[in-house]
Amino acid sequence: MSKSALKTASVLAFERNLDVSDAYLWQTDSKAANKATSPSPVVIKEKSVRGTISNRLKNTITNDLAKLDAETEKANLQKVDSASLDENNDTLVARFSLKVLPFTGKPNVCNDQDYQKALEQVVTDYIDTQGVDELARRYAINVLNARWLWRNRVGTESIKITVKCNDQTIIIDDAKAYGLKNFNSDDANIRQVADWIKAGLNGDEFIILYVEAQAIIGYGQEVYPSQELILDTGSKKSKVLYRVSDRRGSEDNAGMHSQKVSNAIRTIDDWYPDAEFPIAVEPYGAVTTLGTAFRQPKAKMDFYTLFDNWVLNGDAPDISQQHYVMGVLIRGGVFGASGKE
Amino acid sequence: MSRVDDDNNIGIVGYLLFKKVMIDGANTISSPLTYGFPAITGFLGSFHAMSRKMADDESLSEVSLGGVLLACHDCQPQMYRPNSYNNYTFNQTRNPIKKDGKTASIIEEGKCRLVMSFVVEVLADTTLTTEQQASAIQNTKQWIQQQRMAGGSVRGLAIFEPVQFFDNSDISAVIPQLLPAFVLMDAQNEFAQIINDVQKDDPDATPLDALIEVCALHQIPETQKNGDTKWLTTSRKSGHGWLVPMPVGYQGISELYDSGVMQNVRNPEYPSQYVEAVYSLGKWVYPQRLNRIGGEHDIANAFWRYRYDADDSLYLVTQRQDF
Repeated sequence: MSKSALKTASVLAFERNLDVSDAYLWQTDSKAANKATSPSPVVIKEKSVRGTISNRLKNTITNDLAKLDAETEKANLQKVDSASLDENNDTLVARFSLKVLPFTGKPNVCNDQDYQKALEQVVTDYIDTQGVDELARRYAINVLNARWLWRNRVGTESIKITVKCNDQTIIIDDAKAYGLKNFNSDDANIRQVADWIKAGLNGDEFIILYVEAQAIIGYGQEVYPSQELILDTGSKKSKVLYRVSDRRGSEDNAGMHSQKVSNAIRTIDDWYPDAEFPIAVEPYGAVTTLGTAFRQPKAKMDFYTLFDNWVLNGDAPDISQQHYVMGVLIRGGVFGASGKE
Repeated sequence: MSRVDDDNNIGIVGYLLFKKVMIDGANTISSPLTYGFPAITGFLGSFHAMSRKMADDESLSEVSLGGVLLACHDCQPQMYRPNSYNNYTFNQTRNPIKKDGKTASIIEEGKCRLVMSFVVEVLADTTLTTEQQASAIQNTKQWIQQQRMAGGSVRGLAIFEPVQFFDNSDISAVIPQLLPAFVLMDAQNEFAQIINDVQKDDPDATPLDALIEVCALHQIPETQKNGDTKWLTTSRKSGHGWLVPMPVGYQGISELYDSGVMQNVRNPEYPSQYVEAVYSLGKWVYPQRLNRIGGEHDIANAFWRYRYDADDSLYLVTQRQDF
């Protein structure tokens, strides 16, 4: 078959190659005389609060003063979930495991063998010429800079990161020394973690990293687990937080969704047009919190344009965009072309 | 995968035990009608994939995997209800925003966390050498962590001796290793009996009615001697053990098309057919009840295998060996 006859498979999906677990949130005291005291879970509690009406009101109400007064004087009762450290603990302990699976470019499902061959060739060429060094280095930095703590990282006094792999352990005493804005940091610890991730992606050995962060955030301070998306909450509770375990004794253990942690780990894309800060690797460069997609298809810098040009037409993009395309494949997803178009 | 052909000597030479496999994000919706424990096919498929990896391995190329025993230590569907007596809803995930910055639609899913132990039949024509056993343990321990099971990812295994090999004659030694868990058993006999009972009360009742009856609670008033009314809660399944409705395979609902005829299928290189789910009852049994040799409560009958019936277009998972 000639190259031009190649078309994207209608069923094409990739498994994620960085398999991240949920993050479990625990707590401990950094000043405890007996260091051996084992951490206890951060517990999600339900709070009932009497709030005020502070939302923007409809025009019909703002125009009628009597109604406006009545409206703003009403109490706003709500029930929410919240999580915070106990008053005798000042350290948030967050743990997750990161499994690195071999990345060969072989799709999880693909219903077109010719296409699959072309695709695997592209990935093999990339691995032969570029290798996964750059990607692994960036993932490693995101593990060590504690970006994955998200809001819990803000306002911390210090963060200590421990990464365990097989029998080796790496300890970073000041994770905040690594910046979030760029990937210029480089030291022996980053290189070690990058080497592990590289070995896992290349399939040289089975790699699972156990990552733990100890963030000193202050006695009794609030922590921020993931929020559950519940389509029908009834009118009972306006915010439900993620309980990572239903096991008896720790039913209300707070956690962060694996999706949230892995989004932080793959925040390595500073190759998009006019990049000012790294964003998570996504097919359209979408950042939900900003409501913006940074890789618009019209700029021809989105995943599908780059990927199709590369696989179907053999037209390899810049090296930085190659990293991006491979980053998306490592992220995984369903990329098949609908037969309807 | 599990078909033992008569014309060669391939047989069960031993068992591999995978102890306390923790699975995150497994698909809890087992069929269009049932949820809770994932479908059996989700686990059989995973071990089938493992069996194919064995075929590519130097020392294990003569070895394959057969039926799978499913023992569940813990199953937690991720769902929420505002208060008791409300319906549960599955906790959803939001997808990345679309290219125009708008919110993407929600793809509804149901996930659960599992802790499972598996016992898998090891098939070969000769008994395994010690090196082969060691290699099988070493490789499968890595493979199980690298592949998905029932749509979820394996987070870890038991700390001590997570994968063990048992000789064919030694199968009862597996039982203590499975504690505390429940083993999923076929409850065809119980189902037949319940269908019978239901049809006694209502001759027009179908097996589907009986299946729904299993999930229903009946509140029956009873007048006591002093004139008070006492409400009794009864269920069809009481007295039969811990019964659960579950899918056991697929029934073809179209002809079997040749490979390449059906559009946009996952594997155009194979023939394909439209199917719908087949339901039956399963039963959770405590492993210590499975130590009687012969009969219904023999652990050898607790292994699930694929079975294809071309005449009736049935694609089943079953524990029966006598076809």
